[in-house]
Amino acid sequence: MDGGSAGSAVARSKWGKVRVGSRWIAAVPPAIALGMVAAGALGVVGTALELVPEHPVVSGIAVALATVSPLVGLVWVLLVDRSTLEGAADRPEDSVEASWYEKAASGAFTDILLVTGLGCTALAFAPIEVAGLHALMAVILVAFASFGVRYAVQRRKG
Amino acid sequence: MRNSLAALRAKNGWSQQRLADELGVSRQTIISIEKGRFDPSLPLAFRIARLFGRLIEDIFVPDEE
Repeated sequence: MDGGSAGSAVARSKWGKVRVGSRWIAAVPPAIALGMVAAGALGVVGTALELVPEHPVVSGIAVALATVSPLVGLVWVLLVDRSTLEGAADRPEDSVEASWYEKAASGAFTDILLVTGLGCTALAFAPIEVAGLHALMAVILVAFASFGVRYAVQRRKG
Repeated sequence: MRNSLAALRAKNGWSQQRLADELGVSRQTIISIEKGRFDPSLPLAFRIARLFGRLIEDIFVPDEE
């Protein structure tokens, strides 16, 4: 529901609100409920897949517990109408933070191309085998690190 | 780009937060514009000019001029 405008009629709050029909309700309770349902579903999948064959139920519970927090957060991000959040700018696209984000993202993209390119070249000649999962995790870490550092630099510059 | 945003804001007796709320942007955006570290988008520049009843070129001046 992000992107819609609540206008000035809806009071803003710290955690925002979500529109249900013609009413506005606090965004946190439905986010917690839906996040827990999604985590439970993942737990069932984890149990069915028998991630730990000796203890399939325990592994399913572990999956559910590990994913419930990020899933609640993700559902909140998807549900909340940002115009109902305290302190949220009405036109974030015109704010300086959007400029910092774009510069950091474009710089991080260049860094990812550079690092993956150099990494591929090095691995082509080096007698090392790298698992695909580890390589992708490394790419994600480089992306996060590059973006984070570049955004921090932009923010410091003002 | 230089600008007279800080002077116009002070003339109106507005805080940076008040101006940010009027324009729908963050307070940091006002700080960055006033310090000349951030050039606003054309739509934002038009909103600033309209808010103070001026022309854009009355408020924003390129560095070489």
